[in-house]
Amino acid sequence: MAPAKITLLVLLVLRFALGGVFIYAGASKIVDAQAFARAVHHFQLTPWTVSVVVAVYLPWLEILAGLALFVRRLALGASLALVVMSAVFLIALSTAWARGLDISCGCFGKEEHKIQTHFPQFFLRDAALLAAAITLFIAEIRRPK
Amino acid sequence: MIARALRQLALLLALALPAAIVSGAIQLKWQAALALGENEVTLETARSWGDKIVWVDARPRAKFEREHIPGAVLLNEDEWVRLVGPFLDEWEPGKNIVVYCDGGSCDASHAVAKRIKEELQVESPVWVLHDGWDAWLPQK
Repeated sequence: MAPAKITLLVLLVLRFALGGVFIYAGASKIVDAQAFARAVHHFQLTPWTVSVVVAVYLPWLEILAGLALFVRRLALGASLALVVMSAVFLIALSTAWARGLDISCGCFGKEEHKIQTHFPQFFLRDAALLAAAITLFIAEIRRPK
Repeated sequence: MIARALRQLALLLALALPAAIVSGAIQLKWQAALALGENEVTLETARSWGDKIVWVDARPRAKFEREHIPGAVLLNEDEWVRLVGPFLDEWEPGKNIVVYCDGGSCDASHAVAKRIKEELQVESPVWVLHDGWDAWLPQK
């Protein structure tokens, strides 16, 4: 297979994987916005009202960005949105770890995993998401109009 | 190129807004109607009891020491024997006992409420705060 084709294939796989993860993550949070609001609040980074706004708004942005990855005219903006969201998640996780908080990640709706015990796992997962998002963003920038 | 990316990003941010407003409104309405579990009480009802209440914090000591409902006594299963005395000092007949833990799916409050009823046999109603500490958070 020609290198160009392999690159295209890898990008396609990344697009499906990243888009799928964000669509799933968003949908699982919409099911119980209150539970997600509490998960956000436990990070102790935002006042309660802001946590609720984030909990109601963020899942929709995740779903839309995940879907828009497959829309040619929106894929650039979608990949940028995914880079920003992944970076914010990674920073929030890291600060929670640094502050010794033992709370639910809230990454996929109502999960019970605690950050403190699963921190390296969560960190690696978010870092992988960020790397995938950056790769897609660069690929979109380089793509001819 | 960056301007194009930002324009598309702004469009996505704007598109998410109406969806979030509609789903947020529906969720809040629907969840308010959720039925209470057995022996559970809402924060609103508990507060209407005024002074006739003993708050019992069933969470681990570290969480209690970091923050708790004002006036709450610590009584968890880990330190049950040591903490029962101070709890009984606080309790008076006729006061409602309301136990709370983190909220969500935590069940420490149900376990502690059961032990208060069965082992201490206090002559007071024993309740579990619906959504626990999470219900208290917005009040802070």
